[in-house]
Amino acid sequence: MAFFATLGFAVPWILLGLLVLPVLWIILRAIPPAPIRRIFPAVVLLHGLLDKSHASDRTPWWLLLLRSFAMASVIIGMAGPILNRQENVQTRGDLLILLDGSWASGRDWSQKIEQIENELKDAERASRNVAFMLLTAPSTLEFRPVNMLKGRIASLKPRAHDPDWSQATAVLQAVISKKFDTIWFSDGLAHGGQKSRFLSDLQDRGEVSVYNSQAPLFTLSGVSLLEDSFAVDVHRLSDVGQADFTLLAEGVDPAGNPEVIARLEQAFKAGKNDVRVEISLPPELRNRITRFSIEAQRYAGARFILANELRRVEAAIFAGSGDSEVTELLKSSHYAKRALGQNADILSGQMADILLANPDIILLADVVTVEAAEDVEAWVKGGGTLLRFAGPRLAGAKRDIFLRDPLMPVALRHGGRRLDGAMSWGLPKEVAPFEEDSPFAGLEIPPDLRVYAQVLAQPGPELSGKVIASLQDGTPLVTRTQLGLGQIVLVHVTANAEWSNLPLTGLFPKLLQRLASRDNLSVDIQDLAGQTWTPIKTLDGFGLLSASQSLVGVKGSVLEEGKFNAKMPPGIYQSDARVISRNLALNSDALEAMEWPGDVVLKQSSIAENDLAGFFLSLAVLAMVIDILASLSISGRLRTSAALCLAILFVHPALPVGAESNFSPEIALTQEVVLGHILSGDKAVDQIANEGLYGLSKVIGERTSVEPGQPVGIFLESDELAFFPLIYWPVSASQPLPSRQAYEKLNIYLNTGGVILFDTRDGDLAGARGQGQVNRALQKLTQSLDIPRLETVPDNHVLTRSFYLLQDFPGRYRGSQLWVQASNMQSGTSEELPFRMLNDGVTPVLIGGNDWASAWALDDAGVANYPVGRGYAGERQREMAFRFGVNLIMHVLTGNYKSDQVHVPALLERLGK
Amino acid sequence: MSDALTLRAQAAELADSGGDLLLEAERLSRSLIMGEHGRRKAGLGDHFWQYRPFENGVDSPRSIDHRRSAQQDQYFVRQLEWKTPQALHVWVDQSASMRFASKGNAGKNNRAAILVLAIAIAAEKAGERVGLCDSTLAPSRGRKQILQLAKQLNLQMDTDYSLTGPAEFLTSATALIASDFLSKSTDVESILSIAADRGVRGVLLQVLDPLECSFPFQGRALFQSVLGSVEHDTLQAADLKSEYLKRLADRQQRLGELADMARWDFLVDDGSFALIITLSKIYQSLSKGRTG
Repeated sequence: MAFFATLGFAVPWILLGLLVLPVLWIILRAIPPAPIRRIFPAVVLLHGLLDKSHASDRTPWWLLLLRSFAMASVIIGMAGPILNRQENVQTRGDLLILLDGSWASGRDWSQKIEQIENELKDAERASRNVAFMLLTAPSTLEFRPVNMLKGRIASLKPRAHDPDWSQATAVLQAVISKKFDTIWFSDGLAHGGQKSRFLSDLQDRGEVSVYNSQAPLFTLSGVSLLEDSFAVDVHRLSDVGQADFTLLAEGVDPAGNPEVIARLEQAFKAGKNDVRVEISLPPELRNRITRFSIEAQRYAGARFILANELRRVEAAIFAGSGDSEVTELLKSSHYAKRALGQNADILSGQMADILLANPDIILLADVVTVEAAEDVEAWVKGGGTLLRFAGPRLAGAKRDIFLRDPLMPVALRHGGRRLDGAMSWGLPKEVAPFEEDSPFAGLEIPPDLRVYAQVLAQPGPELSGKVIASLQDGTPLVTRTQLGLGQIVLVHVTANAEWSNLPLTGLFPKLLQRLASRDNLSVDIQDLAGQTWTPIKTLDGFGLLSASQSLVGVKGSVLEEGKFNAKMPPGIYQSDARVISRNLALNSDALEAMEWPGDVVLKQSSIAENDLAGFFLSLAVLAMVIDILASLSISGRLRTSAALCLAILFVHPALPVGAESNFSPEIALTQEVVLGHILSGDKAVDQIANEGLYGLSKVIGERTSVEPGQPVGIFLESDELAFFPLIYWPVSASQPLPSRQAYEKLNIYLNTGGVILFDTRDGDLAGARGQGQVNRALQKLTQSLDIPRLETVPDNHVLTRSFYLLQDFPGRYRGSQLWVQASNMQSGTSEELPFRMLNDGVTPVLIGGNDWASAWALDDAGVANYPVGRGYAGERQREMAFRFGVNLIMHVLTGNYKSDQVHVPALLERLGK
Repeated sequence: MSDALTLRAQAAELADSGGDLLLEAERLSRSLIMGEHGRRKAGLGDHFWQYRPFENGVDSPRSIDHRRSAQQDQYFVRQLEWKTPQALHVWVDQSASMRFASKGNAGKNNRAAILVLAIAIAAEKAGERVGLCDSTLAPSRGRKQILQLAKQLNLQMDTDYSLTGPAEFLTSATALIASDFLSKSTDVESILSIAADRGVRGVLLQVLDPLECSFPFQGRALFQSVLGSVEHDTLQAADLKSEYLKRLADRQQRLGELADMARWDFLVDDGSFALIITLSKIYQSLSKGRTG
């Protein structure tokens, strides 16, 4: 009886009408059904016969019951039954519907909207005035009748930042004298106690009831770069149980289409609310990542967007003169190239050109005088890393060169030193462990690393601050100096294995990587100030990135602060050439659940009200229809066949009305050649396909002895395919995947001589292996089909000569490849057989994208429906499209006959001999 | 529309249907070969009977058969067998009940008229005299008689059931009376007694509609005769079926007995057979009556 507990009526007094039902019963019982007049000459023989029983002089009880039921349904339907009727709120007065609309609100937004609609219904019934307020974007409170607000519900959207409490309080202050009740749709977070403060403000005005979000909440606080991987920190709203989640690294594929690059299934252990997910990806994939997200969590908190932070570095390498004359392994640039090559793009060219490309790092191997030194200096100041290697030339350069050189971190002593010379006392030096504050800290030093020679720095007070790696005797191995935003690094040995075996060790690439990779996620934040940042793309409350509109740039210092609001949402910001991403970076501090005080009414999300009037009234209509049939059958007026038809009509409403499935008469299909096309479900596509096949049928009928009938749309699931010599399948991205049975049917069709022409209708713009939507739809659709190995149509394929001689197969587009079954090469070479030896010569599938149907489409008068190309050339193309169609049908219908025809001249020639 | 015009239209219609009937009947009659009835003595006829010597004064010289006479020195006369035509009385019940036709079937009167006409045409071709059983059309020979007959058979009466027409028979004639025999059985008795008095033999042909033989009705129904003179109201038509069929069988049995008593034959055509089958049955009965 739980059902009836939730049932209510809008106009209950109409139910009194149910009392009339017994009267109706009695009246109906009294009236027998009307007789039928029948002319019957042998009536004289009936004279005097008496009826055996009086059963039919009254309406049968079940018919009475049916009629009473119909009447009852009408009465109940008129009374306005409502399932899950909500109790009317007793209080009157104005109502404020308050939404957090924060970054966490997107997780159950549609549910919230439903609840709001329910509340509005209640408010409408109680004729209360209602105002909306979105805490993330508070606007002036205007209490209005509900019917003026209904349109506004759709425009309520969560934002990707925290509620703007100060603004909200100001809005509340503006209507200081007003009393109203509040229904608060909360995101379940405390927002650092501000929520409680705002709540008490509201409670001064009236009663507050709350819908509190219960859905799980995950956030991503940041991405940190590790040695050769990176880690994403995931947090959740405190919860004790274990929770699984899937972290997605999303990005773009090389064609620029979005794709999921990595999918990591992880779990929060019971009691733990933070988890660090380490991701190790090849650099190619890693560079393409544009954001991280938690699968199926559609709100801003569960997103972490990246601008280009994981991008590959760009490097340029310059070697001193003479480098090109030595063998590869002796080149000073060789090792650096190999070491950087893994995760960097190496640029080559003149220094001036390279600087325009703004590389991340420039390597100078044993270069004394830097070309275009001023430009390089400016580039370093702008954030570049200049990495210099020592060498004989550097060691031999005059000392005063370096005194004036801003591109050298330390001044060098002339000549350097040789440690393993025949005349020297010392042994090759080992490298001292890296200091904690060195950028190389933590790297392991291989035990066999030896330095045989080095250049030495001029000692000075500031030298020790510049050394980031040294030998065991304390002499510097690597020195560094900051210049502007960039850095200049000098490695005191050569970039080849001449002075040390450093380039031969595994340490070398790691050193270079550390120097080259911009530790951007932390670095960037530090130096935003002083610039104006314009948002390019901003995050909305559902975690979707979209081009920002009408947002002005923000000051770097404000951006650095990271207090996001409506004017500065999280997103991707740009200043000059630099593009950075700014994220909510919500760590566990932000995830504090709101504890609602006891005097707040916590509402449970209830089931929506359901108006049952329509249901009852249609039930009544149905009962009346059954009553008509039943009365007819009782009085003998209902013919069995008619009853059968009606029964089928009722039992089989699945037959789609209106769609062009004129398919039922199989006989008609077998009487003539009928072309079929798969109904994709997309009305426009199906119509074009039908018109196209109609046009093609017409043309074939005019030009050949084949006279096809009206083309037919095929429902894959229900229709038999065997009647169609050719099925045209316009691939549409929206087409649902056929069922397994349908695939079985298709496979049987293909294996027993059927032919399917797949048309992606996109002119193959995305390329044969492209990732276009339609292409992917095609891939998905054909995955379960037995499709043989394919090749593009070869020049000697029978399709090029089965009726017309053709070179290509244009439709509305031209030039895209047509793929057919690959020929069986074992059976003979093309020299021996000038035709293709395939199984009966017919390819089971043809795949192309020229949108043939559009080119074929003709109306009844034979006028083309859709334009092809321009002017005469276009008409020529359409003609070629028709010729392709004719060839195709000929090929399909004649099998290897047409290819055998190619033999005829040769046979005749032989006979002549 | 004026009366004259209506009358004329109806007349044309009637003439048309008469023509149709005639065609159909002609087609049917071709399958019947009705022999003339040889008298086994010389007389007027087509078939050779005997050669006998020429008797001067008795035979006219014109009657000498010169082919036979040339064989001998004597004149011979070729005598033909004497043949007498018989009279065939036909009658089709023209009451309104005969007009009834269930869906997809021809009217009873139509079927009856075709059968009767076919017999009449065949008889006329065989040299017999054909006519109705009353004073309107006495038996006679000739194509014109058939046309007259067709016209007469197409007339319709305005009573539901009536079988009072056939009352005049030539002595020793043959008769074919087609009706649905739904009227009182005393009508049939009186006809048969008149016929028996005159030594007339013949066939009673009961023509029924398939609906009348199967009674496929259900539910509440009000049965009416064609003109509405008789009605029967029932609440459950299906219940009446067995009773009705029994009554029908009784009626047919009674008719059969009556026919037997008058040495007539009783045949039923309920539309379940082709007309030709009924026709050959009638033909057999009529020939039997003549020779037996």
